[in-house]
Amino acid sequence: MTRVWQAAIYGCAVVMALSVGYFVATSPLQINDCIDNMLELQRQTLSELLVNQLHQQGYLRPMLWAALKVPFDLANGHYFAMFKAIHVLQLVTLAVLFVRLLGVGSVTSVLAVPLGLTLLFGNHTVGQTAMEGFPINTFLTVMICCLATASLAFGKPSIWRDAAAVVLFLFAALTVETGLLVWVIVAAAWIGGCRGASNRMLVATSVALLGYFVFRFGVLEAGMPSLLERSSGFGFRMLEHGEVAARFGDRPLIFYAYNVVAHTLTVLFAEPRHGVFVLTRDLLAGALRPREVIAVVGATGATLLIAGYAIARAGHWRRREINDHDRLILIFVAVLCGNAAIGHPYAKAPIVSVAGVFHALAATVAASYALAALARASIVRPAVIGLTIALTLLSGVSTIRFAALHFRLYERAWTNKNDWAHQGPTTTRWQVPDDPTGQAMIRRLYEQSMDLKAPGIEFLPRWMERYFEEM
Amino acid sequence: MRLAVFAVTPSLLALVASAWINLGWVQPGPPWPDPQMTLSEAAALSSSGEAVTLITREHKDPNRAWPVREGILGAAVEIAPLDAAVSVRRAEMVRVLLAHGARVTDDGQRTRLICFAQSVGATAIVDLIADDGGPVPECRTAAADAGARATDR
Repeated sequence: MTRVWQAAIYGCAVVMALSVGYFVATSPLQINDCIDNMLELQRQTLSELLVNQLHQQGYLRPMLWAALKVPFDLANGHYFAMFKAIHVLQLVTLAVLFVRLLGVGSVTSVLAVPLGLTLLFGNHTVGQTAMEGFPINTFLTVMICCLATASLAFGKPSIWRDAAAVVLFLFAALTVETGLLVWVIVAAAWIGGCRGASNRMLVATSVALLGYFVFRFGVLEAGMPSLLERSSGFGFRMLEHGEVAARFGDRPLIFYAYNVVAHTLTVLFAEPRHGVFVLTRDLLAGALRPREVIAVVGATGATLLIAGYAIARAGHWRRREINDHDRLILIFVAVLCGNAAIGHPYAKAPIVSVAGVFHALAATVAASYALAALARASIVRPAVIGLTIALTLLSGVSTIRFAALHFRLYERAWTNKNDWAHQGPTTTRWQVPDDPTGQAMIRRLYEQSMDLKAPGIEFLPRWMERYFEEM
Repeated sequence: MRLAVFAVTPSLLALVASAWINLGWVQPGPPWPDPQMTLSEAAALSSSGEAVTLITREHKDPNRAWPVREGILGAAVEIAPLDAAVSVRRAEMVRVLLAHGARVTDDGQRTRLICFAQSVGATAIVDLIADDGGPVPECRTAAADAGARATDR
């Protein structure tokens, strides 16, 4: 593989990430779950934030606050520019690591990259995650840590890789609970025989994992989030947090089991969404929309491609002939199980975004394999035509899903700007009348939001709303 | 490799289609036309943010009539932003417009807006419009009576 091709596919990844980043950067900062955090960052020192985090009930996320506080202080008042730059950088890093993990080494694997990137950014769990900012997108941070860990596992074994894996684990696990997946990736890579996943790396990260549990549940007694804290989808609708507690307060295991199954299904089939069986509900009500079908066809198509790859490679696996692409499939299965289990407290797409990324990776590996099989074909058989049609359909559907992310980010900018317009430049909502620095920050963010253009989707063709899925 | 075209087709589709999407932002802007709206259209579509931008950045007068295209409020009309916001019953939009210089310009407009808001049970809008201290008109139309009955229920 020439350097030109390598440069071309990384260039493709960067351009696709930047195209998403454009819409992120031209959207006002969201108000919910963001401005309150920024006021906290302004009021407290880093050490105060970290100490306070150690006394939170249900969560242990000190690194989340450290990762917010450091750029906040470095921004020197330019908060919008700083946090948007970080968000865009996260997207680019995600795309580059994604391509790096594919280990592109042949023409057909190069051909699979554009499809893979549309699968990545068209995935609803990734898309939903890309839209959020608190003001830093913590789920994107964890996704990057997980891809970086997998990348370490596929490299040459060395002490620095082992140390880096431990650092990534501690940083990710102490940012959001899904960061525990770093250990799952190390363990799956070790089982799969990735040469960078040494015994030392597994032992070191396992000790760190044990330490995490002892510290969280033994020393701090932080426990788990309660059923009362969040709304969550169940069946055909969202349940408010009070409803969740009323229905499942005395039998939470049923609710948790539902969430684990819902998370697994949403990654594989894009149904349910946030725990709600949207397509099924709308189908029964006779109100099915094309965007719901497109989402399910896209995700299911990618899953079937992975299944086809597993069937085609099963003979090799029985003979212990395992290559790096097979190992990526194994890591995907492990991440899916681990991610669904960690996300048991409530159903929300970003929680399983790490599994969504590895689903896209696994599907790209399978697509590369299928393209290689097509390239080797010497006669036109129905199977060749059928596979070509299936891959072309998947490409088309994934590209529509990718465009949907742009469309929904464009819509989100409108929503965020309206929220600021309703809020106004005052600080009444946050009750900081005696806090001139807080007032000045909010006024500046308000003015910056009003400077941005966000006309919404009302004047766009109606078919866009019907075909571009909601994130 | 004679049949390599089969392998190329799906990837080419993803590449070309995503390139079209990606290159959209080079203009700069999204790959669809960036819509221009009038202040009254922003009010009718509950685009509070755009309404504020039009008033404070582009200095559009919130107290004159602006054209609204067909399909937003029915037929194409020229209408004041406040009238547009009331006609779609958006109290939040009315509040934003009033906060940015929109005023009820005469008794006729005042009566029309309050009576319409009453007739559809939009009490929050009635309160916002009547908040300037002026007299609250008596709305004796059938629609207002129906609105009042609906509000009572």
